[in-house]
Amino acid sequence: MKRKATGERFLLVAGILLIILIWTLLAFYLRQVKGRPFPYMWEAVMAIFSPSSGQENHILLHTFHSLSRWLTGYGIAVVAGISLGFATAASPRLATLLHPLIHTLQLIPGLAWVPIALILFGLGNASAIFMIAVTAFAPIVINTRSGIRHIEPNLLRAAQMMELGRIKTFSHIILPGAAPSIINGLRVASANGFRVLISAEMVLGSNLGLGYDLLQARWSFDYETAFGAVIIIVLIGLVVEKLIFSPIDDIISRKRGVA
Amino acid sequence: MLDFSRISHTYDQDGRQVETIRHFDLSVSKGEFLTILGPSGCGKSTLLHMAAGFLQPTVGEVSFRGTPVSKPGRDRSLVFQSAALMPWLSVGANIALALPKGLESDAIDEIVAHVLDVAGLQGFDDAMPHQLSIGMRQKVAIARALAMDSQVLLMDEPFASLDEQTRLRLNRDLVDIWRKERKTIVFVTHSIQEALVLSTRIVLLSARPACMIGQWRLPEDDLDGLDRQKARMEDVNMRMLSSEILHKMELCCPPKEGTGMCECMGVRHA
Repeated sequence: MKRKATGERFLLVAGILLIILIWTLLAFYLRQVKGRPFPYMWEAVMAIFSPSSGQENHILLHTFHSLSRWLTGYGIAVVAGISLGFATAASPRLATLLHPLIHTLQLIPGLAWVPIALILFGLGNASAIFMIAVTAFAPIVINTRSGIRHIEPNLLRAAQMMELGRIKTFSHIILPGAAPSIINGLRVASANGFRVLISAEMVLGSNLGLGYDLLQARWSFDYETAFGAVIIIVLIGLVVEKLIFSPIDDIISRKRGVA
Repeated sequence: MLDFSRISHTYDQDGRQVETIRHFDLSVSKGEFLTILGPSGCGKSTLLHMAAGFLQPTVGEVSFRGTPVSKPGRDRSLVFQSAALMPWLSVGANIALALPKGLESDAIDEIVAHVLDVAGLQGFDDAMPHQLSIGMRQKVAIARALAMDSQVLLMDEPFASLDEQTRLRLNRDLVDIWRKERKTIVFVTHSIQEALVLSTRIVLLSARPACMIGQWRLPEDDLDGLDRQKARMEDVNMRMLSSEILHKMELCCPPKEGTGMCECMGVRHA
């Protein structure tokens, strides 16, 4: 078991080293052979900590603004999505009524919401938050409903037989039974929301945020800062996965004996 | 105690009416170990689900202690073929969940320990269901039903997915539990041997639409599980009864025309 864990850790480090190697070789080739200003990884990392003089704001300030927008939009999607997921699982009529709406929302690409967001909220924060919420919402509703619908019927029959009542049935059977599917929905929604956030910040005229910083760096040929922003975006994704979703997934899997 | 009166049941399958049970009458007495025997898919489980209150008959009535059964309740517990334990709860928590509201934690611990002891699962209260064998999970389901203190245990082919050796062992254990707790048990199976080892009465159903094609009372004894299993498996009368049941099943499942053997019959003694 210990040997297996060590082996997996070794492969993980090897995978990270492979990314660094590919980046370095690509940067070397593009610089030396093609003469293009492709930064090395360490230059991009340095740009995060010591921004160039041309930058209006520190990259970490942009990160803070992006994160707060993402948390607001994602939070709205989580509350609305989980509530509606439970409501549609409980009421087949409501599910049939909302089915076209929810699946239409899921099919619209993130950037296609830009004109709608601009008409509804104009330039600025609210539009970005709206775009995050609306793109994260559908996967949460769909996965929550699916998780509840796939709970083994005999577990619900056992709950009826034991006369557990609505609250205990919800807390002891429905919620833990649907948890794996809900977590999957939250995971997909989180990635959707973050992707659309960066795009929204590029086009919705906000002066702060990683998307804005990325675009500004590109216009001022500050490629180190642009790549630094990309590194931060990837790191945020990894941190959310490793600190939130993976541990919850591990707990659920371990309890069910599927880890 | 549990009465099925002129039960018929049909359900809709893609606009076609499928008849599962026809004119079924049965009265289960207190303390009885009754086995409903019949071919797979004949409607045995449908009868149990009606007794549990999960299904309503299309015609007729199921009543428990004189009151029509209209919904599931703690007085009739169903032991499912899949055990239906909450995979995210430990064995002890699964059993505790079945206990009535308002009990002190000491009382809960005591009941959980008692039913685990009766089921032969002492010390397994912290185990998770996935850490147990299928047979042990079924024992936990039985322990949960005992914890509910139901007056009747409805057992829906609980050992059907087990290997022969484990099934025989669990049959013995179930007889011991029944002798200790004196619950009324209605047990569904398609195994003649299982029915002969366990029951005080066997009811045989035809293929779908199911009707009762025979019933046999088995001799009373006060043997423990192992002795009863040995005695019944070695008894010549039991072997003859086994052949008779098998012969009737072959004639009636599916029914063979002109044999006159597939009509509902009265009680006969082994």
